[in-house]
Amino acid sequence: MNQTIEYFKYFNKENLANKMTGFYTLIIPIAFMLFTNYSWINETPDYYMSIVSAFWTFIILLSIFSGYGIALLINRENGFLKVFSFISGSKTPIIIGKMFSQILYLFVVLFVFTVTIGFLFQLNVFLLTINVILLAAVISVPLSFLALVIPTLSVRQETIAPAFMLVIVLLVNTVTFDFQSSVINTIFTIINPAALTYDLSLLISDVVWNASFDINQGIVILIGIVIYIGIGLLIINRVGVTSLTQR
Amino acid sequence: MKLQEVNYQYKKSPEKALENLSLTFSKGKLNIILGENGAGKTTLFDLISGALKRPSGFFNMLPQEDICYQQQTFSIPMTLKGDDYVKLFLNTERKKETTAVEKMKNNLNDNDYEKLNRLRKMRMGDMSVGERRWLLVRTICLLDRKLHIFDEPTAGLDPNAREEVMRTINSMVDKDRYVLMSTHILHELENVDCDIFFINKGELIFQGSYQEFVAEDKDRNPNKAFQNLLVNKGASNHG
Repeated sequence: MNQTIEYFKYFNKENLANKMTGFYTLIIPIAFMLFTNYSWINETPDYYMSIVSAFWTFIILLSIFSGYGIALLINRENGFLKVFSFISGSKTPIIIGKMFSQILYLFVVLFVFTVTIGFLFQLNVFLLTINVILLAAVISVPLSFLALVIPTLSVRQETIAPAFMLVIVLLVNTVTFDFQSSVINTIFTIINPAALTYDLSLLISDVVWNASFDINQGIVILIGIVIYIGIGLLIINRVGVTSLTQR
Repeated sequence: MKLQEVNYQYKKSPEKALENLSLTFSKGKLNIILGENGAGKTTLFDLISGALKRPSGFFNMLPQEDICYQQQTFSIPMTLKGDDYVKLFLNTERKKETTAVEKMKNNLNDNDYEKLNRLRKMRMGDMSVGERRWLLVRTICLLDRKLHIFDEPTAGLDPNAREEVMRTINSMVDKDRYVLMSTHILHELENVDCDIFFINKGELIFQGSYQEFVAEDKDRNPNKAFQNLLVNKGASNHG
């Protein structure tokens, strides 16, 4: 436990030092939100949760898949995982410490984003904040477990980082896709982490804003969460500490 | 620790990285692995440490918790302070019994303690390459393990920093511990009690003391001895 806390503290310092991460995960979404919804400044729409949820989904996926999954892959390739797994006797404290550091970072970014757009567009900042904190609390750990697939891949960081950015944009853009079949829509919600995150956000917003809960949607999301955690638990031992792209 | 007829080949490689390699490491001496770039030194360390899955032929290997493995390089943010690294190394140790500061006080001489304390306050980016490497090696040497592996710890250092790093590594050698190291700077071994293992294309082509090694050249020049061994024994081993 102490080792995990020590890595947690280290990765927090690393996150603070890495200013480019803040640019990608905070500044760009705020700028894009302002650019695409400029009219909201003059007139706040009646229903804005679908748009805000899409932006939250983008931030969450980018922070977890890029800031955690790809970061672990980079740590594998640059020798960090190898050196420190021998110091700690195991790679697990590094992986868990990094996970919770990234989740803390995600909470901060989501909070700043939500408060900023809330005040800019005169939205209900209080309920939005409760909504996003609940969303991050429920989805961040399962997505982090799913992201453990990334450091098992035999690819270079230069290849995967831009590719993943495109994949995330694609995933987020398909969250409202309707396959005209409830079964396929359900499967899509489970296999597309962006759709799962987006639907969870809307589900939570129903609870927070309307005090109603769609039990069927809740079960679908729960199944997705269990599958993501299961994949992570199965794959964590396959996260190697030596480079897979160099001999 | 003993290796007997070890063979190892990477999945995507057409050639073996190690071929029929047999050698025995001893405690109480510095075990030096020599070889050209790509000769198989880091592969050997990865297998001994268990970072790569070992094939047959490894005997009396140590578990991961008894090993400390310093890699040639690993990326570190230059904005963090030396203290962040000292704490990361010492506070994440599995068998941690004392704090990082206590461990430093108890195990370092006055000069090293003062130098380490000075570097702890500096940002990594403000240190010289030699200071960063010394900080890394000096801190790793505070970890009490049965096997220490140093992969080219003196690469890129000036003579003074090299001397400091070698002195630190040499001070690790005792009868209860294996210390393994690779290097390309051969003169630095002159005053070290060591066993040299020369690997070429995954095969052992020389084993002996430093004096026996330099005897391979009539002028006792270690660089010439290295080249002579490659030409004579390296060529003969490969027909």
